[in-house]
Amino acid sequence: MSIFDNLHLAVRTRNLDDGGSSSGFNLTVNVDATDILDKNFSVDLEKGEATLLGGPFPETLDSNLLTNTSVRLGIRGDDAWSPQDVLLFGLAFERNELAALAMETELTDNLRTDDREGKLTMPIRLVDRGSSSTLIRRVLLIVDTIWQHFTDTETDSPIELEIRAGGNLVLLQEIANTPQPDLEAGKSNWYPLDAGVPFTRADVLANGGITLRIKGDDAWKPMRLFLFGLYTATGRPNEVVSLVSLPVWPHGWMSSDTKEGKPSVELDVVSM
Amino acid sequence: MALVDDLILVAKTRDEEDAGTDNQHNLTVTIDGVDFFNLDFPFGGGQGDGLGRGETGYQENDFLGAIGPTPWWVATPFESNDLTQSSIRLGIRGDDAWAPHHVLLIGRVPPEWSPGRSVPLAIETDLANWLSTDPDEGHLTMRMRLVGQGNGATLIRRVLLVVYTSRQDNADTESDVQLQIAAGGSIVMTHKITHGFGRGKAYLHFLDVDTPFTRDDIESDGIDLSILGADAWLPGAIFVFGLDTESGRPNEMVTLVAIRSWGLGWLSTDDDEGKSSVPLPLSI
Repeated sequence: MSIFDNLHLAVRTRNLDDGGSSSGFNLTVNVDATDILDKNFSVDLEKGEATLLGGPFPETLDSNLLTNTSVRLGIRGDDAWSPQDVLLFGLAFERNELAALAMETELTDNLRTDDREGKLTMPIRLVDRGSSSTLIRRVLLIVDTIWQHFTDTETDSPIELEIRAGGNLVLLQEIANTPQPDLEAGKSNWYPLDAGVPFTRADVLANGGITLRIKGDDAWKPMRLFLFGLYTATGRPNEVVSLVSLPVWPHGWMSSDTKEGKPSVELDVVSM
Repeated sequence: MALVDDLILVAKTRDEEDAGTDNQHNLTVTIDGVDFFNLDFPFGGGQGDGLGRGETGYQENDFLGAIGPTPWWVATPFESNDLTQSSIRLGIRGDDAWAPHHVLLIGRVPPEWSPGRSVPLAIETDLANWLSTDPDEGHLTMRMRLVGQGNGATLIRRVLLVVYTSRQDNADTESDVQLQIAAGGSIVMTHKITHGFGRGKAYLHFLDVDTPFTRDDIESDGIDLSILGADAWLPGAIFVFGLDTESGRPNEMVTLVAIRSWGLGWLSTDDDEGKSSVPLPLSI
């Protein structure tokens, strides 16, 4: 199945002076001459910062109808934005299915309505969804932290992602002190993590698992979490494998202090 | 196989309040995720005069004679067969909202020897949308659907005339101008245009035909352009396309005349100033 009812756009801003922007974004998805999506997003991004936009799709999207010219990201203002990475992915809530649809990485162009400083729009090329046997050399963790009134949902404690596959530990990475506003309330994070040993989704399902843990007692409450496996060790991946889809975080607070939350949670592998 | 190495964009603004714009436009042509063409341009030719209500803008490269105001080469020629219905988008670079009425993209296909031929690539007609960078005022970009190029047997039920008057001194005219087409032994269309032609200005007209015809039916010297007054006129470029539909957006457009660099002299009923009529050569 390739029918999705939710569409999400994750972006990461380049970590350079004036890389951020408060100009709104515009996302168009065109299928056979019809703009099935023409959506504006309000954003306010600092340099190095990521965000996760999106929500329900006006109509269902059949990703099989998309072409490499279907998806374009544009900007609505003259506050130039320097994107580094862009990922568009679809969700099917009822089936709990996740799929990366289009992706660009390591971008060098700016977007701006003023033609002297950047392009108005740029294409986002499709990526293949891969399969359970696709070799995964990196993973991409996209997570955001919930914002609640009078509640300290963010954390200064490091978090750690562990992936086991085929009975082996293939990835163990601590995340702390990146150029992004790490795990702050109301903020999104984009974390690419190298696998120590290439693995497959099938290996994770057969004899493995995915664990997220917090390594401190500064309690943290995520809001959404998505994990993708990337086929290439560097550069733009041509295959992006879905691993975890938590559009609504179900595990509550996390903390090494068990009175405040769970020190670790097992993340279920999503269907493809 | 048709390799396109440059483009002409013709756009007419709706004739309604605030429809015009001073903002630059942006055209992208994307094939398989790669922007082969991504250019910003002022329809006013960089003179700051924008595109007014009801006006038609004309943009092309100046490869063949500096007709258009802005160079418009396609850096990497593209194969027109590789275009999809999602490939071509027209956008705007500012918040002075623009109301397009008709938009036409023409490509030049170079043969082994010049002058090449011009083919319609995409068209939208009778638009009702607005373009603006302000999300409260319009879309940022709009798609332009591909149009078929028809053939000699395509039944032509309407004609689209695109005229660009030269920028030479005194090229403009207040005289009426007439386009006539003869096909299959009879006159199938005669239209008189009475609005005058401003210097450096473009015009776009959909013209009904009296009798549907085909390109193959058109006789030698069967397309005639006449001036009906003594106020001499110097065109800069003229295109005549045959459309397969009687109204609305065409599915196929047959190129009948494609003169990108007018070389047929001045037109005037005053013999001292020009010819009163010229046959327009059928496009190759």
